[in-house]
Amino acid sequence: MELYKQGAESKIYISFYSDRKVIVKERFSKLYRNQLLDQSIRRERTKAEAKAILKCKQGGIATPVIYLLDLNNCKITMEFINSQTVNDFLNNLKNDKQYNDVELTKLLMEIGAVIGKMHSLGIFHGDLTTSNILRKEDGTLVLIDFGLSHFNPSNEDKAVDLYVLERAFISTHSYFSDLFASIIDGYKHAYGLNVQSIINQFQIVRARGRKRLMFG
Amino acid sequence: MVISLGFEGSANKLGIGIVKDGEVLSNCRKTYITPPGEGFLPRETAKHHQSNIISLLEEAFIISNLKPEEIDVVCFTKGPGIGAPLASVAVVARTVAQLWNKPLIPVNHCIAHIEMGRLITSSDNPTVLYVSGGNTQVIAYSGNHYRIFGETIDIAVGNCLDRFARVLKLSNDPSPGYNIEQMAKKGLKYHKLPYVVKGMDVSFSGILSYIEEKAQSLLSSGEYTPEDLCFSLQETLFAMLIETTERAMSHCKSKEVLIVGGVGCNERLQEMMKIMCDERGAILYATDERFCIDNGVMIAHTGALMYKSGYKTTWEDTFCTQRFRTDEVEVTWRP
Ligand SMILES: Nc1ncnc2c1ncn2[C@@H]1O[C@H](COP(=O)(O)OP(=O)(O)O)[C@@H](O)[C@H]1O
Ligand SMILES: [Mg+2]
Repeated sequence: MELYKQGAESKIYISFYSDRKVIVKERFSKLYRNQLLDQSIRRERTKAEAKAILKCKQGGIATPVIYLLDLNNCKITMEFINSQTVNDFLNNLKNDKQYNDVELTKLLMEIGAVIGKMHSLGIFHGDLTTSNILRKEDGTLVLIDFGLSHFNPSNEDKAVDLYVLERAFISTHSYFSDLFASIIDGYKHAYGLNVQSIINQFQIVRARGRKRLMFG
Repeated sequence: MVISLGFEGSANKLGIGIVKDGEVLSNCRKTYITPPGEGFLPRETAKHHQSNIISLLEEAFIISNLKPEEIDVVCFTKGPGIGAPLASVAVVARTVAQLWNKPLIPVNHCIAHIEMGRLITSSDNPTVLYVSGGNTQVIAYSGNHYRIFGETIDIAVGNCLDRFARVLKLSNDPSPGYNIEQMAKKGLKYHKLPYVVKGMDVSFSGILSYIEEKAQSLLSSGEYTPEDLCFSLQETLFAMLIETTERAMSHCKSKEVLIVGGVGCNERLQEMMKIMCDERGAILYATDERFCIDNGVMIAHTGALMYKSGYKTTWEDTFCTQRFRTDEVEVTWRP
C-alpha cells in the first residue's frame, strides 16, 4: 500500500476495496510509549472513531463511509474523499490575492454549522482542528479523525471543542484570526435552542486559560 | 555589539548571566533547596534570593571578566512567576540599572526559555514543548506571537513529578525531578494510570491524586517498588506530552521540535521525543541543564533581542507580574 499521509497519530495509506479507491487509516504502534499503554490507547481510539463516524453519518453529517474495521490491528478502511483539508485550503487562500472575503466568511459559517450540528447530535469531537475537516471541490465539508470523540458531551466538552478549534485556527491562520467569530455565528444558527449556555461556557474556558497561574 | 546582563528569580532558582551577541560570558546560578518532603515557599525563596543576589552578581562579573561600565543593558524577569522572589530580584535589577545608568528591559520568562533554546540549538522555527515546574505548554510561532497550541488545564508536569517525589520523600537535591528520573531508570513494572488528553490539552491533577492515594498500598503489599511507580508516572505523563506535541506538529506541518524548561533535561523525555521525531522524519532539539533549567543568560539574551529590535521600556513595564502569558508578547525580533 502506498503511504498517502502521516497525520497526528496515524498513517494513511491509499488502497482499493472492490475497485473503489479507499484509504486505510492505521494507528500504528508508537515505539516511544509503554506497550500496555500503547495498545489500550490505539484500540480505544480506533473504536471511538468508527462509532462516531457512523453516528454522524446517521445524523446527516458528511463523514467517510467505513468499509472495514480491524480492531486487532487498529485499522479502518474507509472511503477516499477527494478533497483538501481546510487547513491547506486556508493556507493556499492566504497566498491567493484574488480571494474574496464573502466566500471565506461563508466557508467559516459552514464550518461552524457542521460543528453545531455535530454537537446537537450529542457528539464531541475532541481534536477539532482545520486539519480534521476536509473540503471537497464542490464545497462540501467532511469531518474526520474522531479518535478522541465521545457521546453525550457536557457543555464544557462542547466549549472545549470550540476552544481547540480557535487555538488551532489562530496558531496556523493568524491572517484570518479576526474571522473566527464567523465560525461561532455559524455554530449558533445550526445548534439552535440553548446555544447561549455553550457560548457562555466557551468564554469561561477561554478566560480560564488566560488566568492560569504560571511560573518556572 | 550589545553586552547584556540578565536577572532571573521567578521560582527557586536565582540566575545571573551575561551574554554578548549570543555568546555566553557567564551563567551563574544558585538554587534554593528544601528538605525532603517539603516544597519551597514564597517568603523563604525570596529570602534566599535576597541573601545571595549580590555575591552571585559579583561572581558573574568575575567569570566574564567585565566591569559594570561595559554592560549595555540590564534585563530582568517581569513574569510569570511567584510574586515575592520575582519582586526581590526585580528591585536589584532596577537599582543597578539606575546606578550604572543603563536601559532596563523586562522579559517574559517563557519567551526567554524559547529564545535561549533557539540560540543554543540553532533551530529555526520549531514546535516548542515547554515543560517546567510551573508550566506545560505546546507552542507554535505564527504572526509575530508564540501561540499556545495546547497546555495543561491544571498543574504543570514538573509540579506533578515534584509532588510525587515529596510523597516518596525523595531528596530535593539537585531537584526532585532529577531524583525521580534516576529512580524511574530502575523501574520495571508498569502500573496503568489515568491518561488524560483533552483535545490539545493535558491534565495531570487526576493522575497525581490517583497515584498519591494508591502509592501506600501498592508499595506495602510489595506489588510495586518506588522505582516502578516513578517509572509508571514518567511513562504516562511523558506519553501525553509527546502525543500533544505530535498533534501540533502535524497540524502546523512542522519538522522541528525544541524542548525547553526544567523538565526538558529529563533524558527519558528527550529519548521518547526523539523516537517520535525519527518516526515523522523530524529533528529534535534539546539543551542540557545549563540552559534548560531557569538561568539568567536566557533573560539577558532575550532582553538583548528586544533591545536591538528597538524595545522602549515604559515606567509600568518595570514592575513584575505573576501572570504573564506567552502569547501576550509581540515578538518584534523575528519575521
Ligand atoms: N477519508 C479520507 N479521504 C481523504 N483523505 C483523508 C481521509 N482521511 C484522512 N485523510 C487525510 O489524512 C490526514 C490524516 O488523517 P486523520 O484521520 O486526521 O489522522 P490522524 O489522527 O493521524 O491525524 C488528514 O488530514 C487528511 O489529509
Ligand atoms: Mg488528524
